[in-house]
Amino acid sequence: MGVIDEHWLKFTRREQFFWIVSPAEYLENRAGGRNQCLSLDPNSFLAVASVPIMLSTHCSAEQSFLCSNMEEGSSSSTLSQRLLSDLERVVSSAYEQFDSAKIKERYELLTLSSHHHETYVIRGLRRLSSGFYVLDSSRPWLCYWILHSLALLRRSVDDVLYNRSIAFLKRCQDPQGGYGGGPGQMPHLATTYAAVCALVTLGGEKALASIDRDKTLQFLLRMKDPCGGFRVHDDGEMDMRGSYTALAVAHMLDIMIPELVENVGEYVRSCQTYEGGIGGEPGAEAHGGYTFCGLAALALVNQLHVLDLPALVNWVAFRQGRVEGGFQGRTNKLVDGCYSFWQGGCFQVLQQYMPHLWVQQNASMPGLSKTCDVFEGSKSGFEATDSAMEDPEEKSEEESARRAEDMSSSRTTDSRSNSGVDLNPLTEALDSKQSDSKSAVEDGAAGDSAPFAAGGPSSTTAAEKTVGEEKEEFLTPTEQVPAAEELGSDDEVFEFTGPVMKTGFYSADKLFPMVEIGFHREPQHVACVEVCEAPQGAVQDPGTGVSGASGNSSRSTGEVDSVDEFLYGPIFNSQALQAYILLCCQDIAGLRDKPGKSADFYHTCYCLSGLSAAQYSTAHRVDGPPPPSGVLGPYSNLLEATHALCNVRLDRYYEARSFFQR
Amino acid sequence: MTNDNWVPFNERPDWDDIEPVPQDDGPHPVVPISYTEHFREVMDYFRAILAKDERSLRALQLTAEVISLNSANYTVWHFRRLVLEALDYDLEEESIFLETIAEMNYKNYQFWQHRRWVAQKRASVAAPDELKYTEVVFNDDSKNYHAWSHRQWVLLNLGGWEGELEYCSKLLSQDIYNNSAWNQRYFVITKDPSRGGLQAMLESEVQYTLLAIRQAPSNESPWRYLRGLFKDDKLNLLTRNDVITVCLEQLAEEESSVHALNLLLDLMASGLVTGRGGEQCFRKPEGCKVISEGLNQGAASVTPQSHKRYVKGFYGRRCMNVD
Repeated sequence: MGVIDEHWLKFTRREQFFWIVSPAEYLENRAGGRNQCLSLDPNSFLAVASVPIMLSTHCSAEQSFLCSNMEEGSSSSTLSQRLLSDLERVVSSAYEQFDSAKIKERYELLTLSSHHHETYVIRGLRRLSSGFYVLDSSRPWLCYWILHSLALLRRSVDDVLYNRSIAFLKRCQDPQGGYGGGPGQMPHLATTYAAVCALVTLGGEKALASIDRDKTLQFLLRMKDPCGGFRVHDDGEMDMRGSYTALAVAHMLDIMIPELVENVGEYVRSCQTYEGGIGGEPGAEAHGGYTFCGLAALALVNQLHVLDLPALVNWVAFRQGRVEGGFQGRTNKLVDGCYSFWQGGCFQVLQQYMPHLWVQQNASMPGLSKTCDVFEGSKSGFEATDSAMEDPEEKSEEESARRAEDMSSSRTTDSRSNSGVDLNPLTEALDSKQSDSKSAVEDGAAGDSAPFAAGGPSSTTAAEKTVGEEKEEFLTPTEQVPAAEELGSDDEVFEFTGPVMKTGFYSADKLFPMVEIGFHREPQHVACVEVCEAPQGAVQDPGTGVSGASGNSSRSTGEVDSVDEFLYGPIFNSQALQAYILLCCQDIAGLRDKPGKSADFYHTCYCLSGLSAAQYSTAHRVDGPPPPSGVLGPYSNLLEATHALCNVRLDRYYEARSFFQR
Repeated sequence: MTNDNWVPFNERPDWDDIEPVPQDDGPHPVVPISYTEHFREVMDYFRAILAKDERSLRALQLTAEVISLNSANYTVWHFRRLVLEALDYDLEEESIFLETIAEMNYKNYQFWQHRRWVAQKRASVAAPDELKYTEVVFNDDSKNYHAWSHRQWVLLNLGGWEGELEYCSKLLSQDIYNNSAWNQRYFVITKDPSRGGLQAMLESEVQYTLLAIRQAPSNESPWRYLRGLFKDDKLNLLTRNDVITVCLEQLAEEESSVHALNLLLDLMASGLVTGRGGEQCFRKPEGCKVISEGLNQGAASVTPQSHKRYVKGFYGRRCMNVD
């Protein structure tokens, strides 16, 4: 005992944390003799490979891990229940550990170990152990996961690795178009997506020019099925991965021709399930990975309206664990760090396409106008349970008036959208940049970019952040700061459960509640949401990160509303997600699925992508920096922004688009 | 991965006409994998056969070796199908091959795609085998995504619907939280041609679902299923006292029953009006705050502004597990 204590005291705070969260893993890490093969989680969602899908299907493994560390659930509970509550308990104890730490230690725990993660991924770019043979048909994926992770971490590769990466990917390119899983392998849509993303991420003339656009288009067309879906390779399976990867590639390379787009909407819609999410193929269960793929695919072809968006949002919102803060991939399955992007990324998309959501939400209101009739019709039935109801008529009148307003605005928006109003800020942004470069954003930008004036995001210290937080007005440069009571009552209304701490159960939503960052405005008229933002000088200095954003962005604000932000506050708990990633997904080096698992490149990539999406969801503009209060932990945790649909670094995306458009 | 009985190709007389083709990784590849000698040699011979496009029996055997080393190599699976067709190979044999490599491949896209290909060729005679096979997989992992997709494909293309609803019920009786089984249930009641569609099944399904909800109110699956039953007919939902009652019941029981609130807010969005005094329906004040908030919003959850609050209040599932 004494010996253990002695050792314990020598541990750093982070090491102690690790120990508590996952002792087995900790020992393994300390021993240093970990077989890379074991630590590899080949279950990347999009990886071509055998290597399948996500954690989600790892029930038995999870079970053995969880059960060996914890008491068995009560005998009356089902397997699913036990797994769910076991993980909640593990995560909760991690949060308890965090909560009991001193302020300074908390900061340490919430710090993204960028250096370790960088070292971890770059090593993989240079050399992989023989255990990686299972990913021998996913090598462009390995390139993408690593290069994208580095890019998000603001690290650049040296010239040698830059050139070698391009040369290697060139060997994966098929003479007939598309990229295979390795040299000499047949082209596959998923590896084509990975290779193109990797090259876009590398950036620069040499990387981008190495892609044979014409042949790639031929390949995409060969994979297109008349039903609207895409096969992932010649004679391969057809599912949502195919649709997404094909369309993302077509978009990045600016080869989106009508033949590719035909029936895409029908196919994706046929995969939306009764739950609201999207499955891999028609009839299949709603699933985070496929939901992102479907949503992003439709956004890329400007057909989001074919989905039932309110149902989708409802489903995704419920995938965020109240206790964990991270996302699960399917109903009643376990939270996994990679869904930070697949599910969290859906919010990033939706947040930027709110008008689409509104149109549908408003459209559902006409049903409400019939309320009274319906209600009258079934009134007698209600009375049994609803006997205490008071003067419904009065209320109904108010409501109908309200509804009438909503309906009229919905009609307006509908017609606007039909007549070609741009509802597609991400994909159309660049194309429309010439149309309006008058910057209506300067007021807001001056405020938004304030934190960087202090010396750039990476040098912003904790102390500076605190200062930033106090300067509330900076967060809402042009908006009225909502009345304090409004905020207060808002919170009060939605506090359902008593303080968790009193029961000794720590949860992400209590420790990391949503922060108010000034998004208090009434629904905006759709017509004003046309956005064209685009950095004029496309390439930024990677060292200074997003610093160029404010000056480079411009967009038109429409005639109706003078609000010059078009983003709306995060529609999920961004803080809790960041907490899950920072506290539960950081391995000693690299990021992982959950406590008890080891880091791998796939999870490193998607945890970081999800973290970036969560951070920037609190920004007031696409391309704008998030306010300090939106970034959990030190502001130096702030990653580069990633493109919500293509998941490549935003500046590299712009660079590629303008390269291929010229 | 290493097999003691394995004989290197360069020691096999029937392969001495083949010049192995090394992988063209270039002088300085990135993400280079330190292949074992065994792996490298098998792949070198496969590349040679692929380059020759030799569709022979030995090529077929070679593909089996490659698959046993890396079943994620979709190129080899594709080539194997070309060889099988060229040889007019016995598909029953191919099924047996799939059995032998099955266990390591439950989560492999290529494996299942191949299985689908074989089943399609064998046609309806394959249906019982395939259904049985997925059941074996579900014994280990009742939520295996590939296996469920395969099973749905079999049902749609080869038949075998009889007993499917009972199978769903059986899995749900083992684990009522198994959302994959719920999803399959929805698939059956909407797609099984003999059942007359959702409308014909509606009454019994509502009863089944309400029972499941009362059994485990924190279980999101039946709540979503219930919404799904009325997905295209929300106004009909407004006339369902049994549904509304279960919501109120659960709220009375547990004011933070997010699933009940979620459904109730949806109901109000569709037109359920409880009036200003509606909150008195609920015994616990927290629940009615939401409801009155919803009413103050004019239309429950669905204005964009309230939507944010809505998400804010409701993100997070499984709240019942907490205590």
